[in-house]
Amino acid sequence: MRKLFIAVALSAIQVSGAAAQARVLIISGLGGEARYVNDFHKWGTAMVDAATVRLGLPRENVIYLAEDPARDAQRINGEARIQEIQEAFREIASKAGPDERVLVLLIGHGAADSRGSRINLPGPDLTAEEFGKLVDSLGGRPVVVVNTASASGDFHESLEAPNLASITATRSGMERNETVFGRYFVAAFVEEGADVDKNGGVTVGEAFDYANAETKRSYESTNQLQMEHSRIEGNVELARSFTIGAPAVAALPADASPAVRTLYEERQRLEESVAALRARSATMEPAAYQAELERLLLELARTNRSIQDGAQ
Amino acid sequence: MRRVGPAGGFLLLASLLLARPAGCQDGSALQEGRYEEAISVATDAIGDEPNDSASRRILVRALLDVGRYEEAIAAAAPLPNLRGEALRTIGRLAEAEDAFEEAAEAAGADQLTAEFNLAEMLYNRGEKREAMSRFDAFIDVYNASADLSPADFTTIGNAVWYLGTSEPELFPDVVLAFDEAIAADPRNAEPHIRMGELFLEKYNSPEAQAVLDQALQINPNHPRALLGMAKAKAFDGQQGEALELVRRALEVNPNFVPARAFLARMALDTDDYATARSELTRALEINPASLEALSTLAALHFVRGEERQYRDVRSRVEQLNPTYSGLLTTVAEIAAQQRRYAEAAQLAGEATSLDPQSWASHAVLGLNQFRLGQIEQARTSLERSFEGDPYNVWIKNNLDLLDTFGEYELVSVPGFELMLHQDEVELLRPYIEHAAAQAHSTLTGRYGDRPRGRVRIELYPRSADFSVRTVGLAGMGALGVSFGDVLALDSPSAREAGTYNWLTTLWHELGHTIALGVSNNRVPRWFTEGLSTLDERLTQPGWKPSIMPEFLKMYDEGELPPVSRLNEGFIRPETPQHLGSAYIMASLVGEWIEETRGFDAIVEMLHGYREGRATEDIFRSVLRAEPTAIDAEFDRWLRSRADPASIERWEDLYERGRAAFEEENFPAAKPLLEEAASLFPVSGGRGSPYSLLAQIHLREGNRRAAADALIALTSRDDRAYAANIELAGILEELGDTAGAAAALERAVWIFPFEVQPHARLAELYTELDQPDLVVRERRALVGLRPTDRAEALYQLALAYQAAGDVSGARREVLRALEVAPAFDEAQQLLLRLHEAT
Repeated sequence: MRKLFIAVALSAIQVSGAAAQARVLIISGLGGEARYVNDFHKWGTAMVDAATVRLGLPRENVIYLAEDPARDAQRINGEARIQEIQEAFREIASKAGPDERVLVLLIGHGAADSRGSRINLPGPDLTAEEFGKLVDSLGGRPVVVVNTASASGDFHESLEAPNLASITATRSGMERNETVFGRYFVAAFVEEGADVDKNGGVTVGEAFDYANAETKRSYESTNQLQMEHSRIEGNVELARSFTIGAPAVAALPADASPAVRTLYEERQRLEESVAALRARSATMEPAAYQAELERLLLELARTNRSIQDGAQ
Repeated sequence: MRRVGPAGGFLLLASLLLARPAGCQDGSALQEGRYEEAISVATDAIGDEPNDSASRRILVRALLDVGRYEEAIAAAAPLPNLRGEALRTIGRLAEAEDAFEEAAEAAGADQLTAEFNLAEMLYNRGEKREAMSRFDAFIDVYNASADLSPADFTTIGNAVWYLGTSEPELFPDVVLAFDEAIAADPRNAEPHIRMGELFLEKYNSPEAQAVLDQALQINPNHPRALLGMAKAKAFDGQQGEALELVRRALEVNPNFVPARAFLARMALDTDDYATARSELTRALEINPASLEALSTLAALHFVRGEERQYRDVRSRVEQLNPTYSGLLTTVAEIAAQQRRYAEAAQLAGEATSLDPQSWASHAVLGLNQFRLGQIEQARTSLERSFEGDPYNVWIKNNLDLLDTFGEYELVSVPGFELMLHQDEVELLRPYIEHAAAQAHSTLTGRYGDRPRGRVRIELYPRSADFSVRTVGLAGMGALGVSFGDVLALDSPSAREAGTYNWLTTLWHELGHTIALGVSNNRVPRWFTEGLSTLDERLTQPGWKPSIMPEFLKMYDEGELPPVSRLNEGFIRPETPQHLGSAYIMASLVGEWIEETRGFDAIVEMLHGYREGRATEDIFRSVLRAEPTAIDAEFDRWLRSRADPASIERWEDLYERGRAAFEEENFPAAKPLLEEAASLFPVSGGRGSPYSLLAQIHLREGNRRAAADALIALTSRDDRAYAANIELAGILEELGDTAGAAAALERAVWIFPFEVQPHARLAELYTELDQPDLVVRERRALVGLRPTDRAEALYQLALAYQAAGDVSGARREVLRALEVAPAFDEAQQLLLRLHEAT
């Protein structure tokens, strides 16, 4: 059993160039008041820049539909009307490989009433049900949907598939006030601080945690009652491993020598040992736990140094 | 009600209830409190028809309500139950009992009430078993009778109330009975009053006030309704209103013994022993057998150290009722009011031994154990009390609070035990440890005395919890409390940034601990509050708060009591503003004594209180002046410090300056505000002229002048969080790193829950080469639970390394890597640290 586990674990080591691509679709709806129009534009363009510049995604992998395409013709691909949105989904479905990851980010004002949940767009609103069908059109690809709009919580109900994770800014359609979650979700990819495991990349799961914590802090710092409570549903593991750009951990070079390959394998083994040790920490004597932790972390640090020395 | 069964001692009662008195007048004058009219009409009616029993009842009731007891006894000659009630009111208990027996034996309308009165007399002289058996029979009356009068329902409610002391599940039935009495006769105030008194017993002031208000709408002059409302107001801390209400009750009935006893109790709260003594003397002249008045008299003797008299009163009460626990409980409550918690707990413990079913005694015991920091003992006592009386709101709140104690961590440091919420312990611990140690060292040096044991400091992130800890109810506006060796205060997270300074509150409360210790808990409130407010200034060397115009105006207009009666300003403040001003005045009195007689005089005064001496005696012996002379001398001193005549000028200058500021007419605003600031630099209500001046200077691009204005403001206002943050930014721009760090230092002590000030302060202290303070700030940043915890821990490890604490650095870098094993910089640091050792 032990050998089998290691074999499975080693197969997970990523080799550069083999990583699946990601696609990002950003849909920014009606702003209404000038400050929201500006905020939504700022968040949308920042996300485009983060995906393409910071995270190295090819520009053609990012589609940004917004309220006013003329505002930034370089970054905005089209108007956020239902027809354009449908076209964007068709494009992704036709161009993306079967394993390509897709992130759909909705920014705007939402609403929920007896007619269901929706997001306000130029022209007719997009309902949760319509949106669910569009997501279904992507087939079995790994998809994460992030709806940062107010009253977005009920969108989860229309988003159910094994390879799908959904995030909303609010717990339900009843949280109708304007949200700040979107600002912090985008900031997670733009600013420092969201990469909590320090592996060099921010997953959508980390971005969710970051936005969640900063939203809470934002309300606390202004002494306001928190009016929005974000939710993550569906395939949470997918969100936790979902990166937009390059793989989070520096990948094993394709032409790596056997010695370097061994070091990578050793690093992975040590990281898994640390994780296993942490999992059983509650059952251990604190001193024994600390001693073993230090031993493993020192070994890990030395292994990493050897990898870096080898790379130089 | 719960049982249908044998009717116990008086099965026949139910069948006799049908007999009703016939009346010649409707009694509305009595019901509505027009007592003189009621007496006059009833007297005339009886004159016309001596057998008019309805009019006679009205006459007796009215005479009883206005305190003409002898006349009531005479008028009640043919009505034995009412005669008994009148005799009982003035303590002629044996005659009262005979009268009740006579009424109970007669098959009259009063038989049920007479039976109750007899049972109550048994209860009040300690024959509880027999009394309870008789009360129990009232349940059968209720269950067996279809035609009960409003008065019957009230009497049944009264009886079941007693049963509730051993069967608390019956209390809803008491309410039910009173409700039925009200439904049957909505114009009768009596069941409303009884309901109000029931809620008062359960410390449920809002409900009590609601029903007592209904009673007073029916009869605005009812002495018992007025007294009940007074007690509710006093419970809510509205002492001024309470006093007014009890005085109204005594205007209606100058012989109302419970009102006199309550007035005496209120006087004890203000250390006005002469008034307390005089009220109790009068009360006991009217009714020498009043257990309430005797208990309060015992409390007076106890707090005055009059041992022999105290024992005499106890002996008198023991003769009346050998198992009466109310005396000890009352003495315990008043001892606690005087901050003598250990004695209070001792007395309440004795009370529980005397009467194990006295849930009030268990409650007083538990509350005082809680105040003494005996947490588990307190929980046991309070749970015992609550089992017996699960409707006591105060006790429920305290038990609910105790249930939250699992969320707190106890941290032991030399001299202190700190109770900090688990969410805040990592952030606050370095600050509070430092503050407590510094306050302890400074204050013990100043007073030449130290706390007897370890001081427990509890910090509550929810104001409601602190409030329950202090007064048993949520909603109290105070910030901190000292029970001697136990301090409780709001955590800085409990209040909005800039509205509270927990550090000065901590010093304030620790000051109380010392003053209570020096005086053996006998220091009066005005003096200890004054000293503690004075002690707050020691948190910052050289800090001297300004005299505010709002205070000076209130003082000048005679809104505050003179020095010799300043305690009243704390016990019976008219408004919260009056109370706030009383604090300021008390601190100024302390300052004046220190300035004119030296600090030794203050310590000598505390020793005087320790010896049980009264304030006026201490004034004479220590300050060498009569109280009135003291009042005059302080008045002259205060007016030399700040001229009340300047207030009007200040108001004019400030208002015109602000108007010009709002119009952006800065050249006009500046001189006005500068002159206003020279008169009163800080105002509690309207802000500070310096705040506006700083904004003007900034708009004009004069950052140096803006910084100077903010320095002037922040050196006088200990809550100026935003001003300190702004000042730090300006000073940084001016290149004054040390000044910026000092401003941020003040800010984080006021409100430590924002990330940015700590992050900046860590950087500034790095620049200033103050590694220990960098460590403190990096610890604070970890304590703020940042999303990027690994980075915060790594930075803390670096700070420890820079401070030469290799083991601390290693510990923290391991914590960082535990969160993020792949954290490259942290791995490198770990290797460096390992290699260095």
